[in-house]
Amino acid sequence: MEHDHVEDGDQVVFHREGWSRVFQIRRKRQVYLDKTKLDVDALIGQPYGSTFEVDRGKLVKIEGPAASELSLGETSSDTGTDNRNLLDLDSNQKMSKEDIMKMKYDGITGQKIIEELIENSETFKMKTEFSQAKYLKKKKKKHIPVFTVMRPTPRLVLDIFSKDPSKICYLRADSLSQLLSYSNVMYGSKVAVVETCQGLVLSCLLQRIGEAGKIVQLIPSNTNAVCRQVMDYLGFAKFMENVYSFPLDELSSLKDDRSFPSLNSKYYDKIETNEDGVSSGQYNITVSNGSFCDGGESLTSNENAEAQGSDEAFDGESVAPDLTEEYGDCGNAETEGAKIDSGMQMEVKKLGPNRELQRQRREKRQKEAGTIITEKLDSLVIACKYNPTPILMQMLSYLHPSSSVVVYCQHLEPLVECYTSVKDNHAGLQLKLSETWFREYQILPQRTHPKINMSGTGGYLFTFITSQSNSESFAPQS
Amino acid sequence: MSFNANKHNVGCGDTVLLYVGYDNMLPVVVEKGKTHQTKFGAVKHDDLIGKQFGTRLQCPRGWIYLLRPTPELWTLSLPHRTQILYTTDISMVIFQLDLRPGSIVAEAGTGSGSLSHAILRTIAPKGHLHTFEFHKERSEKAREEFHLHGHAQCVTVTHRDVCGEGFQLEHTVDAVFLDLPKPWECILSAKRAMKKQGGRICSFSPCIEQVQRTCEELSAKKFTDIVTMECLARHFNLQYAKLQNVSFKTIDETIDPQAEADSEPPVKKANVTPSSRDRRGDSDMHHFTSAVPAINMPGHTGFLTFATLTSNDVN
Repeated sequence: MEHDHVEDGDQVVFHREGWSRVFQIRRKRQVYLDKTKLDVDALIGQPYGSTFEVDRGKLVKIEGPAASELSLGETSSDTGTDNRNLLDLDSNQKMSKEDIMKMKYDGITGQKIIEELIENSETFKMKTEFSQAKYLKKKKKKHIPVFTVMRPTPRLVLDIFSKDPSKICYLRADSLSQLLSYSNVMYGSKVAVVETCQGLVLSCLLQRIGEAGKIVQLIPSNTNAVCRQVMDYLGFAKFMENVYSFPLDELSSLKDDRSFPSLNSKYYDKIETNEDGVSSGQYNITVSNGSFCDGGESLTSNENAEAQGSDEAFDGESVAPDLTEEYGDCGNAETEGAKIDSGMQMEVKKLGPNRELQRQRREKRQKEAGTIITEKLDSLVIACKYNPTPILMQMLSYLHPSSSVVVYCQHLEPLVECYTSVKDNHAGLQLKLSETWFREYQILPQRTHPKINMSGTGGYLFTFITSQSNSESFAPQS
Repeated sequence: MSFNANKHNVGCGDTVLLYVGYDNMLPVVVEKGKTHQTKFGAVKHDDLIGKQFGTRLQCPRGWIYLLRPTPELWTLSLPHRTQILYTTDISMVIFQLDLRPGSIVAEAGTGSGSLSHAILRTIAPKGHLHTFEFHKERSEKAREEFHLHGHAQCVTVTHRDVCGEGFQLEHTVDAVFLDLPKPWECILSAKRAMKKQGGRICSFSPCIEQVQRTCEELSAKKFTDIVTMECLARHFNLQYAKLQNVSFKTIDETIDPQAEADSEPPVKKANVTPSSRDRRGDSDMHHFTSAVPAINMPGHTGFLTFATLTSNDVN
């Protein structure tokens, strides 16, 4: 049950327009926000949706209806008509950077600083009304650190990555939302997903399938770390029962050996109607000694810093320092169950009977995942840094006919290949290859126009519906 | 019931889509004894019952496929009673309104139910959609469709003009969607409908003047994080294309024989090989697979405006 107030241990989004950060709120724990240390004890017990101002490392709640629109008093009634007399000079502002720093140090409020700035500006009064508004907005953003405390949602979590979209394969709200739509994932769906988006796609899918659905995350065996950081943000760390993982290179073993020793009677029913007619043989998922399996579906506790580290190695890209700093702070041991780590690290950390239990559990979970796959899936979602075509073609036989498939990629070319492969194999209908043009607008009286900056790309989507494939019998069933 | 995830075979009373070709699907409610005409000939409903979704059917003059309806396919095949929203906008609406299983949503108007189906998929089975439509026949038709599609317990269809009469909901919904000619007239009523914890609102308007007034009203009613956006899908067609190569004189042709003799053999070789190949027949053409954007595409659907109401500002 979700509570309306921030509680000890909650993952909380600090949000202001177009900007979000996630922190786990713990008593007596400080967080780093814009490089300043912050005491967050004051948040506990406050309702979600409250707005706070940062005042010398302390959070001060802003009460009243004015909370959202901090307005400055009538600072000036004088306005100019245009900029014909304005010169771009350093001397326009009499206050120096040092003056401002000193005021801040002395604990003078942001509001007061802005008033001083206006007072000491030669040109402010000559600016037009609109130009003054713009100036104020800019200064407010800089000197009055205000944010609203929100419960994390995929929408807000997406904001966190706006500075470093490469971490989520350049997914944008439009592409992620369409990915979710075209996957037709709903309450109770069985879904396979391949993603390298920090668990963002996985989390969104998990939210939509509810507790009734099942997700199998397919993992390449040559990957030594799978990051599912976003799962923490959205508070899914505790609800991992319907998330499975399965190594991609074990898929062939599902195909070759088709009888389970135990598990599920439903599975046998399935075999009866399987078009391939292969019905016997030993079912056996071999637990390979590869790095993935060893560290498999594990409930390891690891320092978040390690998650960062291993992910960095895997990406081959550096993590933006401000992100590292804030992530690093927001969770130490909280990555439990939300991350699959490399076997190497496992071995160092876990020893003894505990380890054996974990291994057994992983084996069992992997077997269950195998069953889910062979009983066929409702949807397949691919959004990763791997070449999608081989994965897609491998997985096609594990989808029901009339299932929904979405392949997302930051590049167009791999999707062209997917398209061609599906088409040549007559494996799908309603093949669509698309990208989205996305633009935001500034809506203000007499100043409405598209935003000056826009994102050039949100990646590409290839979607289709599986059809009864050619290899299967088309004879009418009785 | 055919929209359900766990349903794999066609039953009596199910809505199925007869896929005739790309973007060309006929929605059919399966009834015993009935026959349906397609461009490939007659389809007997009795032949459909018990078939797995995705099955390919032989018709007198061609193949058709039996597809499970999804909100996306439904959007492409539904009977239009109004202008409808398409999947690009629909997806954005659902994502930005933070919808998920269990969400409670108010929608005005219902229109042809294109967005409603996508909302219902996301919020089912425990969520609820209160949808309002001022056109009586349309609202009845929509109610029928929702029932037929197995959404009966998740949706309340009301025939009412929310502009003027309001939603008449008191602090019950997580999100509000407005697709109305004058959305600004409903902001206050929408605010009342929102849960005490706050929620999200979306307004879809084709004209910027509507957006302007809506944003002013949202701001006046203490909504925050007001964002307006536009998104358009650009579809690609795959084409095998070719372009004529032009020939350039190579070094061995431009340089006089004496100089050529002095030049280093590896360099000469590298320049000669491709050009001599190019001069032969079809290799004059440069072949490639190209993803070509559609020449014509919809350039505008509507502006989407989103805003948040925080618990602070509910009252």
